[in-house]
Amino acid sequence: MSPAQASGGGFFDGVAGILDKLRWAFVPLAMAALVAVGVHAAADVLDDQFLALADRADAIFDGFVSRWELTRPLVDLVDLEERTWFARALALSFELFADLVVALPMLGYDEKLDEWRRLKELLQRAGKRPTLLRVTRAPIALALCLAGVFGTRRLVSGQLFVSLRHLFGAGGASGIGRIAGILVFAVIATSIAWRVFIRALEYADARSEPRTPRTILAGLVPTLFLLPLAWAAIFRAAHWSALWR
Amino acid sequence: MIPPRPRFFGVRRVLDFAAAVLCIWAGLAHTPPGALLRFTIARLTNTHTSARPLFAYYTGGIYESAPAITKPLPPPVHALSAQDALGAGAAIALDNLEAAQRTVPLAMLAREGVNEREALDPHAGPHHLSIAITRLRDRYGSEDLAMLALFCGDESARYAKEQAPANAELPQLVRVLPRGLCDRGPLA
Repeated sequence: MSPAQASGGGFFDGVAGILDKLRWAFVPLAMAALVAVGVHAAADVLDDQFLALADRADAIFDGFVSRWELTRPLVDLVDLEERTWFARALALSFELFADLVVALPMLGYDEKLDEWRRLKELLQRAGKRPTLLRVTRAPIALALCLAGVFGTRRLVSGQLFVSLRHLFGAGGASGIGRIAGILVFAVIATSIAWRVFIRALEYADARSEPRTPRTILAGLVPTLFLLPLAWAAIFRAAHWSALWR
Repeated sequence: MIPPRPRFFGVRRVLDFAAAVLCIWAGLAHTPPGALLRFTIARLTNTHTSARPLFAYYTGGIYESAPAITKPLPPPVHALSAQDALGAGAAIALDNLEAAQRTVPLAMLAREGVNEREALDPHAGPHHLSIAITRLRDRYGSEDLAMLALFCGDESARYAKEQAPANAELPQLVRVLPRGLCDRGPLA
């Protein structure tokens, strides 16, 4: 090895050592942020559904009140502005609630030397002593986190496209963005995303003992709010085909 | 004794950090909770923040940033067909744009054989625009993409078509556009 290589390796190891000492701070922050991105992507999908619901409800209301001369002016009671406000307010409420119950606990992540063993133990315990939290929270967190990985990929890819299109043309910038997007997807999935699943499982595990009727059903209401978000995250916000586009 | 470092220790630590930076950037810059955090920090430190209003983070902000229509078209003399209604809507939006913001739409219209005078004519403009929109629809594959192409240009429409799911509607198309590519999406 040449002296230059040696000094380069030393510098790299030094940086890696510093980053290793800072992991306790940036890994949990990144996990929370990744879940927040996924929750937002899912809430953005729900927002469209809420708007469609509001439109249908308004159409039914308009159809009803327009039957009589007296009530006909009420057709103008709720317009598009109010309906979009309602849909966004509802989506934002869902989002902030999900951040509170799924993203925020990620900050309590404490990395262990053998994470796979910890995962195996948690899964075994969830299989032997199932509770609502143990069974639902980690898959929901994983769904939201997956949407977060896709969302971050799209943001990086888009920003690269915007920044590079004048330099390499739309085709070149799009190609670079696409390759970078795949790399970002792979790096985030292997560095951060799987830890979200472990932390969610650990969080649920800690709230599932001692196993009483109360702890078995603990988290029922939050789960009911989180399920639509998880559905939106998996089926609408995560576009596998977009990885190659 | 110091335990030996695992294989690829340095590379893994650097990649973990890079992934974390990307996640934190995305979370802070592109979500309402991130905006809330940035807004709070800006208030505490008395600094400026680029955080947008919370609702602007939904559907690409198309409902929040749609410009007010100050110059409506004269009422039509006969009932409009669906295609002419689209042209009439596009004409209103175009008429309400400032001259500098009309560059891209007028260039797209010129490509489809409609000149500036025809496009901005208060009576015949909607009809000319509906013809251009039909041509754009044939070119891009949907009315939503045609409207996006009209107001944001060819590059944005192609990018949105590439990134959005097949048969995506306008809100989904605008949602996949990165910030800085086109700020006229709400007009479409």
